[in-house]
Amino acid sequence: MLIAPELLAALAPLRLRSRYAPAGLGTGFHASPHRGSGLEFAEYRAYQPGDEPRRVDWKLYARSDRFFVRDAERDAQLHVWVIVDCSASMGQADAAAPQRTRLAQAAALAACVFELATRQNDRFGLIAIGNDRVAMHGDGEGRRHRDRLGLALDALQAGGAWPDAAALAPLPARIAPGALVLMIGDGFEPAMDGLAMRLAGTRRDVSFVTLLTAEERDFPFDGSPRFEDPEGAGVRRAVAERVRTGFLARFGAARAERQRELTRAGIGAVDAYTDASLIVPLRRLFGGVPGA
Amino acid sequence: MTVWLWPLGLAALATLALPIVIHLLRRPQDRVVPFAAWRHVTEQTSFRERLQLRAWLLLALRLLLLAVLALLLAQPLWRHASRSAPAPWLLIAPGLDVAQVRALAPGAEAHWLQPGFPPISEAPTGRVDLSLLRELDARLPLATSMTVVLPSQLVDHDAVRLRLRRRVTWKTVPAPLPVVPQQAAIVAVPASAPDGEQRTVRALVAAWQADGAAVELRLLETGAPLPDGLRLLCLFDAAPDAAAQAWLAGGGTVLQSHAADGHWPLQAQPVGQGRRYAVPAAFDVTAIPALADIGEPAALRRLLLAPLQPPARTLADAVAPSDGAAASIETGTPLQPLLLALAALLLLAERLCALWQSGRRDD
Repeated sequence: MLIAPELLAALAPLRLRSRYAPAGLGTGFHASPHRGSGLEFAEYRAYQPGDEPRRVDWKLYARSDRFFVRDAERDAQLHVWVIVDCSASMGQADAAAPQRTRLAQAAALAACVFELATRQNDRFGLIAIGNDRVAMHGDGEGRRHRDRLGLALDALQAGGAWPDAAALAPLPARIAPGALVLMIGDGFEPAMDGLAMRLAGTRRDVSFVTLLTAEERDFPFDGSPRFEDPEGAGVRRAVAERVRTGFLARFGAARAERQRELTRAGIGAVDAYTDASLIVPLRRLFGGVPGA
Repeated sequence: MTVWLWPLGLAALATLALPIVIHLLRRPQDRVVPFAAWRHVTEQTSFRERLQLRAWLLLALRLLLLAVLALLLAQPLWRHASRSAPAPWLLIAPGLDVAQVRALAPGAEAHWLQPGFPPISEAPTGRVDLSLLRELDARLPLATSMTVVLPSQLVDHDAVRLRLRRRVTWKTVPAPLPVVPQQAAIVAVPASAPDGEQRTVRALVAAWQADGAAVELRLLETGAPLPDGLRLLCLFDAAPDAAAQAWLAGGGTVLQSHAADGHWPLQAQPVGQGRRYAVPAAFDVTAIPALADIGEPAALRRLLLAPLQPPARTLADAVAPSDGAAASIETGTPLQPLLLALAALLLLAERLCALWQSGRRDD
């Protein structure tokens, strides 16, 4: 059960939408740049050689003795990709709720997106990056695909670090232009930010949900614990009460700076917290009027 | 007022250093927090920061617990100090100057150390009997203090230290001793004794006198009573009559010769409280040539004239009751149950506090 019932109920008014018209074919929910076969009538246009004869409006031909082709709004499917950071730092949780790791929240968030995509007949896929490799769970549609990806989300394990650039290189090619890409990470992976900017620069609608723990937000420690990087990059020892103000100021500044950079690259950057409901970031990302 | 029955137990207070050291060494700083934002935390580890004591409450509880356990080891007693101490007793040996003694312990209830413990307004009779102190010690409540005033030397005392339940203030005053007149020891020889043996005794007595002993030879006529101060009765081959036997059994010394059970050198045979020496033949130089030896008179003097009674005088200070086990029994309310309850409470509080601390650490 990845999605809490109240969260599932709150998903109803949300719509996945891309800033770019989806390029995919099929009967979807979204307006396509192409006209053609569809359910909604768009316009008549003069016949051109090459048009399928069955698309000629024969009743109109009988009235006007001219060939007209009936064009419809072509409905399109949106491609939704969720890229989840599975590096060791995603395994971090608050001491108050050791079960609610960042990764668990990320999985729940991804499940929400898949649920929305299923409701919209969109195609969706999952890419889990961590443990020094890239795991792709290819795109598909429908409930079965949603459930398959749900199982994959359930099996995600946080560990290791991000793979090198060579492993990431094929990714942009797998994600079709115009796709909606939702990246869920903790913001401590520069490679992930780089990937997001690269995708956003090549006509993919990229959003970035930065999952923070409540401890990173509030720094509620006392005593002088050793702050250790989950990925083993380093350790700091400090008296918590003394460094709290400095930490909050520095970390806040770093987050603001990163947010600015992402926004400048055209990425919708949203924060989520391990101790808060996920409906807030979901509404901010997908809460607008579903649209055009 | 608190009394420690085993003050050495207070040495356990040294263990108080233990929790302090533990709190200094095992600090919660060693807990590791996985924290991806570690780069934004400033490193701050000065030695003073590390030496800072944490968990003050827990430390205080542990120190208190150890202190209470140490006090428990020392076995404290609560002595009610001023519960109207009964009037002290002043016991005066009969024969001492009352006015002089009263100055030693003014205000005390003065009694004679005599059967019945009569007040000093009555005239004293009899001698000092220290065993009366045992009786009084058993009779008086323990809180009553006793002061005993004695002459510095006691006569006819068995010289055994008294053991009493309480500490007794033991005072001695110089007092005139009863004078025992110095009297010459009398060696008696029956007038009917053989000549040779009489001569031997006479020679011995002469030798002893020449050596400085107060000895006097006296011839006894048959049927005459035994003289006062008789030390040695030389009966030789005569059998002791009834008076001589009574004297012998009462602590006299008799020398006999031609005895079947005789023996040379002389060996004492106890008879009642007295002793009898016997030789197998005549007591003269012809029968016993060793009598003529130059050291023989001195040896015989040690045997024959040795006093039977042990010295009967004692220094009063030497028989002061010992502050032994009996005297050191402290009375009071033992504080152990109270301390045990306190220790149990502290242990509970310490455990709760430790639980609370560890719970807070996990947050």
